Amino acid sequence: MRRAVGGFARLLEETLVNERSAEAPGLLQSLDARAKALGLVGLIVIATLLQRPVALGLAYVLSLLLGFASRLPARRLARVWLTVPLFSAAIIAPATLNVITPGPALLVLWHPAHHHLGPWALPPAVTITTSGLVVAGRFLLRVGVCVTLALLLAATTRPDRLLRGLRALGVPRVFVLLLGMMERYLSVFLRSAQEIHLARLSRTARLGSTRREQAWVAAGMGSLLRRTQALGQAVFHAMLSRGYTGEARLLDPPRWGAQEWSFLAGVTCLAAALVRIG
Amino acid sequence: MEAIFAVEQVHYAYPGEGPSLTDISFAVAPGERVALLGANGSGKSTLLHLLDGLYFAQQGTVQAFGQTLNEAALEGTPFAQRFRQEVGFLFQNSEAQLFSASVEEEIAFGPLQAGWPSEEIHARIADTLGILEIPHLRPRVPQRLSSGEKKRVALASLLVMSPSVLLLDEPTAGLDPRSQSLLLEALEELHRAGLTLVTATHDLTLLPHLADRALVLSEDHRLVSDAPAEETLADTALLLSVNLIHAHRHRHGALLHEHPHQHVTGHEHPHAHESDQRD
Repeated sequence: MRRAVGGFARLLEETLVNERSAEAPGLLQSLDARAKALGLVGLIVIATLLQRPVALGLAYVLSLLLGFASRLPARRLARVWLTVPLFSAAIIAPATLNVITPGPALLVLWHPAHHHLGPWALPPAVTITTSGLVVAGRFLLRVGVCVTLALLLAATTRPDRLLRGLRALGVPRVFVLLLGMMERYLSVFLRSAQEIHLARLSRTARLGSTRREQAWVAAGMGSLLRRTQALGQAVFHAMLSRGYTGEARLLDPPRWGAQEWSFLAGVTCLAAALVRIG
Repeated sequence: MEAIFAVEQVHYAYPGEGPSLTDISFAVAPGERVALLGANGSGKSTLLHLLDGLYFAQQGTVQAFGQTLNEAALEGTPFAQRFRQEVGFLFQNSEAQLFSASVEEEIAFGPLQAGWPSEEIHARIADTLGILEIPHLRPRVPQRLSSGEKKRVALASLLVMSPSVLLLDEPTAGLDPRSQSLLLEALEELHRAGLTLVTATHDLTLLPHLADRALVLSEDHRLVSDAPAEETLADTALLLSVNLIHAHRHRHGALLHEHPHQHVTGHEHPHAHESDQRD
């Protein structure tokens, strides 16, 4: 439970860190959000099309260079590799097996007793294949590049500017409205979750059985949903009361100049080179 | 003179619940200071939401500046823009009211929605922060302020629009005495400047500072009194019946006595010991 409380605190801290890094001086921070969104989202699309590991590796190096030019700490960029394998590995793990990706066997996992699993035929031995590992490695690298590029966009752009940029690029108003509400509610949600956990912690002498803890977690989630919904509605009312109509508006108007054109031209050239490599 | 608000036989119930307001009628004239008094759950906040056009009457009508408040009137119309500029709502929970990344942006939110030019917004922010003596908070993150500071920033976010009406929901709830006193002074100053104030509260000690007239809501969500604030405060039977004070029995040495009592004021003995009796 203490770990959960710590986790919520860290997430809250992270949202503040994002706001601070978006205000810090740096290459991407100095760009208009529309140009930045266009360039980085374009690179993400290109990364999903690349097949050769060398091209993906170059795309990753490019994203790192952009991160360093924007003065993002190396540790923050590297942390992508703590989360990417965690979420991607479960998805891609089956692709390493000869059942999905045939190829030379690298490691025999087991010999199935039956040669059928429901409607599927199984080989005599289920193995990890070298071609399966290549597929998995390419997938992880691609996800890593995409997540790093998305991180660059989020960490160097204040949420309101990002939403305004997305709106200017033609993203539908209702989608931007929902994103804006989500962004505003995130800190509210995390704070509520932290309070619920702290309240429980203050009344806990020792942990109960796993089953009781699971029941408590489920009840806590329900309570959190109700509280967040109520506070979320109050926030929305406060916004409506001050004239909110669903449009993101900025105190300092965005500008689009030579720097933005140069950035987009550079990104386009690099994207073309990456596509050519593979 | 045209009433700012005219409420006629209003009923309101939340989905799946009993009535929150039943047959409410009253009017508020420009420059008035009105308190909505009632125990917790009597419908004060709901009524403020109706006056701010956030909820709409299910029966009866709520008019503001001569216009009935409904979805059509408040959806992208010139009246909606005027209404949002003229009426400011200070929510009880400042957390809900402060959602921007900095105090400056928080205060700029309303003017930006109204489409004011950037230079004017910057100037108005500086003025408003100066009036409330909080210019030093301008770059701060609202969520990291103290309760008193949050409340003043929330008030600044309304005053920047130069409203003519303020709706205040339990404005001093959760504030320490100094913050409470600063806020009350600011509100008195605003009233002297001509603003209309409608305040929901159950704190009778605030009544003389916040209102000249009191509307009292009963626990069955009806308007049971509309009278000058002083008169309302003196009506012990009324206050007892709506659970704003309660009969309190206690002992002074060997003497046991009972008198109307409100916890928020500390231990006051405003009335003669009507039912003194020896133990």
